[in-house]
Amino acid sequence: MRFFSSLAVPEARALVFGVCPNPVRVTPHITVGSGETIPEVNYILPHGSEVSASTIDDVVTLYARMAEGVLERAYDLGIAKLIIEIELVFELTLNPSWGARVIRVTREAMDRYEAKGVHSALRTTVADIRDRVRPPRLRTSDETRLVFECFEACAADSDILSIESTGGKEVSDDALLNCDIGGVLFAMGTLGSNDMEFLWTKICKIADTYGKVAGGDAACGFANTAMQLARKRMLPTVFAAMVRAVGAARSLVAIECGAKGPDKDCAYEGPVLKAIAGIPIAMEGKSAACAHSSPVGNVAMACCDTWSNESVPFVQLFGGFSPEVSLEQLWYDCKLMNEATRSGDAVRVRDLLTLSDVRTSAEALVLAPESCMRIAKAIISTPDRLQRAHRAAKEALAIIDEAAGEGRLSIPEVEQNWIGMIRAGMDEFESLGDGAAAHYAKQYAHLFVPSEYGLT
Amino acid sequence: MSEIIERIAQCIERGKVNAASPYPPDLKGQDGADELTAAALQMGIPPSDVLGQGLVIGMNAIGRKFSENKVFVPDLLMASKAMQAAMKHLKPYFESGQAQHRGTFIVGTVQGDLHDIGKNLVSMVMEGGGWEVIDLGVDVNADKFLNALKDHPKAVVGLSALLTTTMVNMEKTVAAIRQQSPDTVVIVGGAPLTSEFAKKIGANAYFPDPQGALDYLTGVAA
Repeated sequence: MRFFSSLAVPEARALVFGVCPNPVRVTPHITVGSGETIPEVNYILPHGSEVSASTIDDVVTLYARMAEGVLERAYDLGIAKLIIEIELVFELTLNPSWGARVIRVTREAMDRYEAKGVHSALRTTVADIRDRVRPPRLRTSDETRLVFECFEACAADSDILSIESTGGKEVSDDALLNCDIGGVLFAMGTLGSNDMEFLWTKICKIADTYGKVAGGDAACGFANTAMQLARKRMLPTVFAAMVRAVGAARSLVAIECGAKGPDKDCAYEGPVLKAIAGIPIAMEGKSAACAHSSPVGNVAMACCDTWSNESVPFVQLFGGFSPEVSLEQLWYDCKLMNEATRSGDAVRVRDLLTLSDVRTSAEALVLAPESCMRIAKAIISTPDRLQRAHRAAKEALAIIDEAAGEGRLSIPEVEQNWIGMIRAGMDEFESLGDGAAAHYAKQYAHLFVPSEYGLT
Repeated sequence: MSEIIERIAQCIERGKVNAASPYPPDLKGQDGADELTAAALQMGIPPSDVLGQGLVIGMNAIGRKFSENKVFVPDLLMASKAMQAAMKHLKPYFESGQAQHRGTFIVGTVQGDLHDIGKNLVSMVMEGGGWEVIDLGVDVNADKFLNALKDHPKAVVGLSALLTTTMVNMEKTVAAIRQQSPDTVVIVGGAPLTSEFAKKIGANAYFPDPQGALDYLTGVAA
């Protein structure tokens, strides 16, 4: 297993959309991160759809229709390269043969359009169904077996394999709601990272077996949960920004296990991974407003290699069906970025995207290229997973403090009390020294099963 | 209202659990909800007054601030911990019938959905509002709700869903409840839901925040 002790991207100026030190060839015609940004479109069944034995034939037919529509729009617009992501819903993962049917019909549509000059790659994201029962049996449950079976069943027709894993979420959820930064560090730095190693060692093996690309993971269930709670004014945004930085330390484990990127679109922490490992990254922002709101719509685009809409349910719009409309929106964003790259203006465009978000949001600020470089350096300063999670959080807080102190960032009045509390939590973690993991393991013992994380 | 009851309400609202708890910093070293509730009962204040004029008032105050975006979830959780510290002293009175809950609230996240943050917040606020909460957990199928209703026929039911793909299961569950128990009050919540959806599937109401649910159900129970 690999540990990163230096940065693949040497300076913030080089951390920009469309290029990365280690581009990844996902199909014979598509290499991600080699000089252009590629649209990555994701769509899902309409609201309220049922996936069951009695509906699966209709579900498969609808997926085929959605793929056809997206590819036809690509053909019409002259989009030569795109990535389609299918995120398998729970039922399609619980029944791997169903998931495989959906992937198969998508592949068939892609093959038809390949002949027409539309080059596409297929990312299959298997649902992490392992935490259906709390505390989750991450290594020993039937659900765990089904997750790997689903990867196996879908791999042959896929190009990129991904998952949004949930190890540590049972503790993270509780720690988030209590604004307990020590609990968050333990949940992601120890539990989440251990689970990532278990999971990604196996996923990379499956990808190797089938000659496919192990893409990457996301701290979606952690940092995006924090972001959404902050959006609903349930948590301080400063705390959510720190959780994002910690998420980078966790998501890095997939790369350490052999994932090559592009990582998952909802991994907003991607630029930190790109800085460390030089992998191409998928990102989502303003064009993913169809899926959820965020305060990072523009800055998220600053360093992307594929540009995603996150996920859009199938509905009819004036401009066509929603997946096709999403692809068109993504494509125009990509055209702008690619033109900037061609004309030598990429860094200028990147900086405008960044500046337009970072003054009003701590969460956006930590995603600025300069911030990501600082967080990346903090993470590689130690191989200890819990400590690197802590250093990421500490660096994020320092970045926010500096910006607030210099008047570059305004923090809502209601958060002021909590910043002191969060700082006290950081102090408490530091005062525990080597005993931090044991302390938080005891505090949250009622929520998780140690052996499911390789802890005894 | 006696001074001690007012102090209990304040401890609940500000999340002061007991004398040892460090938060909030300005109340450090002072008695919290735990000690004050025990003292109030020892002084002979009726448990129903401790509950209704102390605990519920404190939880309502913090719940309202939460609805107005003046505090965060962790503030609500600290209040809940203070309330639970107080409730343990009241438990014997509930068991003997000297104190009574406002009603029973059965809650769960619908089948296929593992999200529990919203459900837990609602549970907490309902409990703080004087309701007995039967939490069925996540990924709960219709049968489990029906069985719980058999045990608690007068209960109201709360259904949560975060995924658009599980909204269909919410509709099925409401239909099953309506068939078995047509008069049961069913409320729903979750990010993708709307009042229109709630109406369409036959639920009584939808609430975007827990305090709204509590206020509504308190009205229903009155």
